[in-house]
Amino acid sequence: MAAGEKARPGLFAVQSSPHVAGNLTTPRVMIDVLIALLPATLVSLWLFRGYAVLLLVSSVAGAMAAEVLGNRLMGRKNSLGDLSAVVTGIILAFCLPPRFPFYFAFLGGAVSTGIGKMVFGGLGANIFNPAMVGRAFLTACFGTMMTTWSVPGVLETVGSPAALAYGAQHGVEAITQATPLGLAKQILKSGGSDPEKLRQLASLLPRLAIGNVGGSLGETSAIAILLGGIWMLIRRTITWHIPVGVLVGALVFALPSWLLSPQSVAHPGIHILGGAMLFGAFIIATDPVTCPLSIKGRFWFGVGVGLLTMLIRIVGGYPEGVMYAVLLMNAATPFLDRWTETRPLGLGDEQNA
Amino acid sequence: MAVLNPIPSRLEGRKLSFKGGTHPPGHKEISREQAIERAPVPPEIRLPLSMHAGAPATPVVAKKDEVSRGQLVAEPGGFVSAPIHSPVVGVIKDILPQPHQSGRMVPTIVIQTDVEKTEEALSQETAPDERADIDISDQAPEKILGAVKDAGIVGLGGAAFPAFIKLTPNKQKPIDIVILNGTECEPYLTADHRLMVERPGIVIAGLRLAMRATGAQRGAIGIEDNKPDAIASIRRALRESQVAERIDVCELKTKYPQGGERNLIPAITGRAVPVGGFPPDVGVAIFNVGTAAAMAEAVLHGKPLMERVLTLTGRGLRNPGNLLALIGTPLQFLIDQRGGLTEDASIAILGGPMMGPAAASLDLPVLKGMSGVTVLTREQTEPRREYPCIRCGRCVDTCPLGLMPALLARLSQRRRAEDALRCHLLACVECGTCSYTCPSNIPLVQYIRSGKALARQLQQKG
Repeated sequence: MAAGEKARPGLFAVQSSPHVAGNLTTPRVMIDVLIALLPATLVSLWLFRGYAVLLLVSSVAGAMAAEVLGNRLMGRKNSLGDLSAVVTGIILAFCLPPRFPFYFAFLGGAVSTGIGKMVFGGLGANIFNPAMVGRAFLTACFGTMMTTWSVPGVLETVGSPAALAYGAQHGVEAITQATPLGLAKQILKSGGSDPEKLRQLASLLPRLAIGNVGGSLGETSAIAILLGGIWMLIRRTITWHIPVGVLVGALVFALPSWLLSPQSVAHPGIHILGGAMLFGAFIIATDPVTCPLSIKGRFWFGVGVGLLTMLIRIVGGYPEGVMYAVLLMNAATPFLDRWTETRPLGLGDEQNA
Repeated sequence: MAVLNPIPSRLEGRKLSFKGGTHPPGHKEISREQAIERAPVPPEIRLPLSMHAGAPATPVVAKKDEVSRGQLVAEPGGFVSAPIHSPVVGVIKDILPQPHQSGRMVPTIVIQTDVEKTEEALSQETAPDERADIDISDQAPEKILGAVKDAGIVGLGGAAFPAFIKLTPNKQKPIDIVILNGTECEPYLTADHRLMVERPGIVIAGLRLAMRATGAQRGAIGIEDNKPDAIASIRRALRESQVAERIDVCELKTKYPQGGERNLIPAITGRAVPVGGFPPDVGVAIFNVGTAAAMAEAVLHGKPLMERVLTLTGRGLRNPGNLLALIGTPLQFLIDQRGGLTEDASIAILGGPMMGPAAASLDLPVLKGMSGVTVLTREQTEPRREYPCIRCGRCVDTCPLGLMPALLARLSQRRRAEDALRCHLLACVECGTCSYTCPSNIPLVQYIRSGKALARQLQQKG
């Protein structure tokens, strides 16, 4: 219409209300998760150098390849733009030992997205956390490789101050070594009577916070993970209910167990700060697609993850446990959804708003 | 009879709010400084027989009849219905189906206006007494109710529900507070805002009349805190007058949809309207501030509902403003008189952008419940890419009524009407908060609407 021209009785576009929308989009939500993963990524690069990049890229590439293939088979348009494959690939890579073969990381990424997401119908349709599906697959197929970790600083940097200091301090030149949790497990198996291992474990506690201990690619630095968690809370990508639920559930099991038999159960601090507990609480368990819809459901989901993780660690045979705990709680999510639906305002005898 | 919580005695001095909701940009600055101006008299007036909730009115005039301003042209078609009055001096041109806001063709009384005589009649009308404390002691409750009914007053906030029904006493459900809704929480709209700034006295008089008719001991006017001048105006009018009734000016945190009665009532009274119930169930009668002013003019000055304030606004409109327009004025006329639309105007919304329906054309008349026209541009209404639902839960967390829109939309989409009904599909008021918040741009409200239509179909069959 020319400027000043009177409105003709023309036709306008008609659509359903509302006619305005907020600025947040799903890709932006994914980007916020990637930003949250940045501190842990930087730590992994610092500790494990260039190979970390290779692992991350391989895992993401596998995830993207499976998504492209899946879309083609389903006759759907390209969905890589929602960035969920990137997030899945990075999370999976963070769960891998730092020297894990990159071609298997590619395979893991492909399985995580292909079987964990695409066969269900794509983003939003899956029941299980895709990264955990990939991780379970790799654990099943390449168990030994998945449980051999390296100590940072000893690898390609022979002669670096950190490596020398480490070697001097511990009189150890081991290139591969078990993680704090692995140590804890060994101590328990030996009946709690290995003073050398116990001392090793105790000395590791402060370094757990910063991250230069043996562990998976991205799960070593509690501070880095917490920074990411805080970012997501600020951006409202996640709410506090799942992380707090996980830690509460874990503590509820770990604290009494430790108090009852401190000889055979590791200090709760190790459980919270070590392994993948924090990573699981803030990054893995909070995957929105596979957890309940309501806030109440999410809290209890978190509690279940924490409880199951501790059950598997303390009673079962695995030093880890987050992966299985999350997958089991994913299966319980439809049930939780049914029991934690929100209460409409004005239902029942609440004339108390 | 339910035992209700007592209304908090201290309602002033703190900001009230509700759980959930969102913050769409208000864009009120486009029109909030524009004083209400009377729109020109159009050459033709179109009065659809259906511009209120309930049964359409039935005409009492015929083609070629001469009518005067204020004359009854249609009487109520049932109990839940309202009469219609001619806002102009003129001749009945025809009574025939015409385009209506709903998208359907609705029987409409078309009046050929005698512009000169109408303007003369307007100029001869004495301005009503605007005092807040005007004496209403001689107004018996039944008289108030009768005057409101005969004047054809319906809710001007949009629902167009016949106001007299809200004033009708019910022994099972006595009213202990009358609330006026001055929140105007929709973006862009400023008609109620200007009314409160410019005519606080008549708004308060209307509230007092409603309190008298219902027997309520308390009154409250809820205003969002993005309208400090309106709050000050009402407070000043109460302070400087001798109003004896207990009326609180309640300041509310600006948040959409604070103006929804199911959120406004709990914010002020602490009582939640039951699902499937109505405000009288919790002892409340609630009216839009414009409706209150119209009630005062009807009861105290014998004026039937013939005109209303509406906001013309939006980036797609050349000359935004708040107009006092005659009911039945063609929108096109109103807008053309002010310079028309911009080149990139793309959507014309009858009301605000959150809940207002989009109009296919502006060849429609001003209806009693039409609070404004918001015209958005092409750039503002670019289609957004839709992603799958990632169950992020934002819609659930922000729903002001505690529903689960993602679930309702999914069930509606899958044609599972019974399951959707069990999940309180019908409690949804379609406020639009969920669709607004959804990062995947899923048209949740649209799915819910289709679900409701399906449920209605099933209920009719069964």
